[in-house]
Amino acid sequence: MTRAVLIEKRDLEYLKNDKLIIRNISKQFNDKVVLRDISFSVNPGEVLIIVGPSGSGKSTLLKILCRLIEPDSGEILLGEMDLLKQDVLFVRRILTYVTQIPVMFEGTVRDNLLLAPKYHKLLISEDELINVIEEVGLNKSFLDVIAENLSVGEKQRVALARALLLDPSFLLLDEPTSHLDPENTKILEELIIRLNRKRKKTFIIVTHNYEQAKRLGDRILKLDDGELHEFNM
Amino acid sequence: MIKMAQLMIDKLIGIIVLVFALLTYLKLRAFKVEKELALAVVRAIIQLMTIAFFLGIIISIDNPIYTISVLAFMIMFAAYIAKSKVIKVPGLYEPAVIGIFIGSTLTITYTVFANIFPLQARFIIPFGSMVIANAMNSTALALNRYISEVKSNMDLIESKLALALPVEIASKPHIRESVRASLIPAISTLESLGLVWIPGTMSGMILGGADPIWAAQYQLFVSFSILFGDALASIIAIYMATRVIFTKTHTFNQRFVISIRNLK
Repeated sequence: MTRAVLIEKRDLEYLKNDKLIIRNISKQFNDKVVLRDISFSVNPGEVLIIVGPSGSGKSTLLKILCRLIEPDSGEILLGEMDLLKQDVLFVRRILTYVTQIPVMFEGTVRDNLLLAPKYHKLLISEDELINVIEEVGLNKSFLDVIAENLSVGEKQRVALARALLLDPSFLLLDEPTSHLDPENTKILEELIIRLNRKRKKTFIIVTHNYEQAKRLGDRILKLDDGELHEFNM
Repeated sequence: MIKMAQLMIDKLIGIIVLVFALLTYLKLRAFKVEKELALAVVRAIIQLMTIAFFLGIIISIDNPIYTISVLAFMIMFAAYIAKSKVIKVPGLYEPAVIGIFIGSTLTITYTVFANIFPLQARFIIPFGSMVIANAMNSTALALNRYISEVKSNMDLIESKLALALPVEIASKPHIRESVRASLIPAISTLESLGLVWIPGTMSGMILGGADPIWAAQYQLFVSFSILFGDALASIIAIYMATRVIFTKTHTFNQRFVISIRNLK
């Protein structure tokens, strides 16, 4: 079952310009249809927001994209590559999901940042660590702080930094500010915009907050009752 | 022999009368445990006398096939009890039965091949029952702890899986914690051995007239065998349960997620 997916960062580079195409994705749990024939695409470098009320299937959709949940039917294509036929750990290197509640792993912030790169045999230098922690708006002294002692806002930024170190093509954020106060929400939104503009990161973000969707999104889709619609800003 | 048996029945009647006196007192004082206790007492008498009756037959026949069949029955039943002691999650009977089977079979086989006990019902069934019963308890403990660990750390595990870490890495701390928890009773027993209590095998041998040094060595062998069987059964059951809780695509099995959502 265990197999390290040895992918060099440069191997992922060529995937960064490919469009993500989702075709006819459906999912039901027991008898309840959660997603019905969902189709949309994500352009490289954009911030796509999926809005919808609680329980509309937003998180399920995001987890299907990185295959934390398998769809009942449909296709997920990156360019011409069918992601449902690829190694699931490889898919999660390309589409990295950041959970709604920022849960810290055992140990320091450094331990948190290095856990996944160590497994993936990615050599991360001290400079890269400092860069990434500063990029998310924390200073390097945070590296040796016990991660569990951070505030929720700081944890959310460390969670984002953990994902950034894998250098994925798509960052999938699940209600990234739902546990944050207005000040930390603003910091995180600015961070997303900065990462998108400076590092050309593609974001797929789900939120129930329409105002936030308008502030962040290049495009907004609305998920309601398992169906997806264009949302005019 | 008949005289001895009669003597034991006299003693038993004495202690049974004392137990029922205690039950009556508990009932009068409304402790609300008397029904449970009475049932346990009656069950213990019926179960133990029945097994003694069958054991007498098996020992007198002394056929290895019968001996092995009795052990196989014990293992199946132990797995069923272990499963029923575990939080209700479907698919855990197989991990329990395989864990207990491998843990106890290897321990018993070693005992026979190392010439500690011969493959005779008189020795192997009582020894096997001790190993199986302990493996059953440790497996139930391990599985219970594992499910609670995973249940209360689902977000943590999912965060690791989301970073393209495999299930083996994401579940590792919880596997470790569960195995450790399942071995605590066996370790505590070893720690108190001789200081607080003289355990069954040693007591029995001394009561039967054996040299205490000789009895202590047998007791050590039995205690270490139990620890080995416990550890092996728990580890195997936990690794197999991992395949029930998670899927091959390194995520939670939806059947597991639904079943634990339905738990209180």
